[in-house]
Amino acid sequence: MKKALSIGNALIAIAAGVLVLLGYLLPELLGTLRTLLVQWAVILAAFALLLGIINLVMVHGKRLTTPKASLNKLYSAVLLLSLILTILLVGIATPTSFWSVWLVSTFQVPVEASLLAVLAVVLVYSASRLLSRRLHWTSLLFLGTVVLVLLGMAPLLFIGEVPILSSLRQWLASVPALAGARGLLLGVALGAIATGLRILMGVDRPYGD
Amino acid sequence: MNLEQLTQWADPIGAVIGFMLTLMVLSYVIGDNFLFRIAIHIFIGVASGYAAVIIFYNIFWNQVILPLLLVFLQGAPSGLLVSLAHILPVLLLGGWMLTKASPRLARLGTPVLAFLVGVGAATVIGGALFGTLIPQVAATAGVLDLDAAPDDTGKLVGWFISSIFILVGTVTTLSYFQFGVRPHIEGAIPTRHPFFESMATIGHGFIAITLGVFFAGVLAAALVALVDRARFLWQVIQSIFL
Amino acid sequence: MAEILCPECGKSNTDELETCRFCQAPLKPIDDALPDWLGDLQHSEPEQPTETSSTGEVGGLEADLFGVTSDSDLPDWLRQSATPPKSEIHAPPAPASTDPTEETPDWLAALSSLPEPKALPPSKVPAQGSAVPAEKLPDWLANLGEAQNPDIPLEEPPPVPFDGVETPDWLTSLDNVPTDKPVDVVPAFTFNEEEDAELLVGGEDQPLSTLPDWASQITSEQTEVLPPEPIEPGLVPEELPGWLIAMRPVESVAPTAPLEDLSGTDVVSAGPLIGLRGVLSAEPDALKSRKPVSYSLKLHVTDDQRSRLVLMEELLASELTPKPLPAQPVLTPQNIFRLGIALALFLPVLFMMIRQSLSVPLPSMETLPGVQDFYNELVDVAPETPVLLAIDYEAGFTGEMEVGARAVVEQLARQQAFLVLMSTNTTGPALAERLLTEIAIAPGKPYPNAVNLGYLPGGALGLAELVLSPRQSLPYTLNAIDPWVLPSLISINTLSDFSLVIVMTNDAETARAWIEQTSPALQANGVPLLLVTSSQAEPLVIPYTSGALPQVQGLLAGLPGSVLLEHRTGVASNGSGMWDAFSLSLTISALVILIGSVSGAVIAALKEGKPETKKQPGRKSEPKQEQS
Repeated sequence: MKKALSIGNALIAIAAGVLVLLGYLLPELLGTLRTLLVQWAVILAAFALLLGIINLVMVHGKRLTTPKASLNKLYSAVLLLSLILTILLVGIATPTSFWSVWLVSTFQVPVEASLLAVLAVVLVYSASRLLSRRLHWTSLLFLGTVVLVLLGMAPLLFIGEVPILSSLRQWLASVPALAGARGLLLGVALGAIATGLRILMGVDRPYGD
Repeated sequence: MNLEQLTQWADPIGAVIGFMLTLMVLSYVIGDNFLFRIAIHIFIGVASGYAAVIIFYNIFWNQVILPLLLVFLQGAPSGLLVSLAHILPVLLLGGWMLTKASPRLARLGTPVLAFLVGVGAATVIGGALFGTLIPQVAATAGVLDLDAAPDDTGKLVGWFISSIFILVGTVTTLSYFQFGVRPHIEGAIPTRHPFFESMATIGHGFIAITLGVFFAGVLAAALVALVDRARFLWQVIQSIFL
Repeated sequence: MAEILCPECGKSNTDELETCRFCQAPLKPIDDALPDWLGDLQHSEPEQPTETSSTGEVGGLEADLFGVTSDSDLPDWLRQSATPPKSEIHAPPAPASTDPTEETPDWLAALSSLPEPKALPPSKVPAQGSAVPAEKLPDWLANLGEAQNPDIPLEEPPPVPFDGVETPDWLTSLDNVPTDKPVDVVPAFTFNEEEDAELLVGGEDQPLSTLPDWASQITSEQTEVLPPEPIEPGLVPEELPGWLIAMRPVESVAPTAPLEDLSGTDVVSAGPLIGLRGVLSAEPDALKSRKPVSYSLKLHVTDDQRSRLVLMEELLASELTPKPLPAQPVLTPQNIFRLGIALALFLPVLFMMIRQSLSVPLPSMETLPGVQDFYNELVDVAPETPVLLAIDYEAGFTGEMEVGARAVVEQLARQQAFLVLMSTNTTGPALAERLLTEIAIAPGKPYPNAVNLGYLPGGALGLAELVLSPRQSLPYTLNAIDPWVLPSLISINTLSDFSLVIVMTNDAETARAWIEQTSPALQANGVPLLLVTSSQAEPLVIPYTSGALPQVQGLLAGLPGSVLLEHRTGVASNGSGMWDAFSLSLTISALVILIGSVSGAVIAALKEGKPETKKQPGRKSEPKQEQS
């Protein structure tokens, strides 16, 4: 029974994927079907996101019911409280109302931006310690590129634009970095195609058995 | 206090809250602490709550309830049936997928997830093939297109060298990820063919440069955020205390 | 050469040997301890079945049984009892051996004290050489001696009178029986003398209720095939009839060597199979049934094991309880260094914010060629033409992205373009609304030519649907208004129907998804695709902007590009206030990285140059980094 279900799930994935792929190649014949399947998938993706939020609530709700007192219970309580209040406020006021925008601007923007600001300190710290951990020609090349791009990205204070730095930065971004990025993009595309084909052949089953 | 007054107070209150939250998160520079964790959990709660409401409005309300209501109000039963036929299957599938929330019933929702994965995989294949692979291969092949060459002879040499550089860089970067090894004597460490090994070494250099540019970009974006936060903090201090 | 039978294994050995060549048992000492008659018996070889009469056959069987095959093997008393001369019969009993030190068995001595026997019938004449007077010998012994001597003329043996011994009736009756009759049945052992007298022919019976000692030493090995003894002078070989020869079971009678070496097996010491090897013992002890050993089902735990169990239980219990993390010092070198970097970055920036002076020049258009292309496409938008704006950046990147986004939106608003805002990000609708407030004519009066369609789920899936049918993917605004009936949007059926598509995103993957899903359709219809990205996404987007047919027609990357566009469009400067601080932070970062890397490399090089110091106990050394 288990095996039959597993094969059934794989057949569903393969059938749906093949129909959509054929829709790309034969738009006149299978275009409508492809549109319908993609539309359904988009709505189901929203359900998947909802599922994630439900799971988040369940996990933190379960943490609240544990008998042992700990700081984790307080954190979970804060999370659930802010979630409920947000749902109430945005749900009543609609997502594009003043209060919804205020909520996002007051809570989400400062926290996320501050996290990014802390990241700046961490990145500088890790870059400055790279050579002490790994003295290799690629590390030297990497750090040299970083320093040159940083210095060439904007004119320097009290000095102004240094032509050689900005030219070097432009050359690095438009020639070697372009080549490397293009190679990476081609590799990523090939990998995505290979992974997709594996799913459509039933070899990989990321949805489970 | 009416709504309008409340709206007027919203900005200062928001600024103070934002100020406190900014400091709580910036305290992570010293180390992980209670205030930082509280700020993070508030952020997660607000983000999740907003996402849940957006899904409800954009999907359930805009694509399910509202069309049915409009058709119903218009008084066209045939249209209602068409809408229902269009909407009901996906609603049933969505409800079926929600069984994944329960550990006991999780298995029931697998077919729907399989459908989603299958459609997603096909979409990704189409996009990768027609959106990246073909155009980028064409761009790499056309890097030495003389039609695109500059007319100036001085710039032509530079253009040619750069084009060769781009071509070599693209090919060697791809060859870096080729990990096939030759048949070897038992006990010896398997190695790539010397030609591929040398290509991979050159590609390694290009990747190091590319990642260096990436890193500099990430650092620059983070520095902008740092500058933005500094500016915000100063503006709040200025508005409240000065 | 004479051969000796081993008393242990019964195999024949040459006379010269002192120990048996098979089982290494001593051959000769046994002879010395035994009386002559017993020793002679041991030296004798098993007799081959010869052509004898019925009595001879009987004698042959008896010879097989007792391993006696010739007169030389027989004890003297036995030999004499077979065919004793007259003179010897009447002679007093002589000792079996001439050795005066040998002991004579009691029963033998008793026999010698008996009166001389009367004349016996020929069949009962004992063998020659017997030292015991015939009248003294028991009947079975007398018969034995006669039977084993083939030279005895059995037909007419001379009578051997026994003085003082009454001849039993059965023995008398046997005299009249012709000796040439074949013997049908001769039992090996009998317990009734009268029965034996009837059955036996020639009086050769061996009533044996118990085996004598010498007989117990006879084993199956003694039935080896041995070369025939040379015929002594004076003995005439008996001629057997042909039918008797044919009847003789040669295979069973002919002694053969055992098929397997039984020298290692135990000798049966009791029971009817006494002296034999390689057979199941009939001893009572061997078949005695024993109660099987009972094993206790109880687990016997020693003290050592118990202590180990307790230790194991404690270990397992400690796994479940969370261990408190060891208190880490706040002021570690890493923390101090990190704090120093944070202060080095933050304080100058704050200082620049406070100063608010514009001392850093803006970047030039030549250094950012994509900005010019972007601007050119932007200004080409006609009034009332629909422009799709995808607000796909995260809330944390508003500081960097809103500079460029605001400039774009304000420029488009200036051109009276119809703006359609949407997002594949959940916070996008709120951020889009923030942008729309920037272009509001007045507070409470939003820009009329703009709609916010909200959130499109699914990522690449949603974009694939958007390309095919924007009406179906986003049918209503978040205010429940149908925008597709508006004049500017009524002709929109696919994405390619828009005049311009601008994607604003900080994430390279989102940018790639947009380009992959929308660029083929947009390129086919000549609709430009513009990108406003963060600095971190720029390297991955640049390949899409190059080539003969670029998929992205304009790229605005990071704060430099946004500030440049702001400057180019003349929009109210927002990014410029951050520009000085941004430039300073870039310089400080580059310097910190440079100084830190150089010092780190020098320290690492010095450490490698130093000789290896002793490792601290419990500290693992760092693995050597492999050079690729």
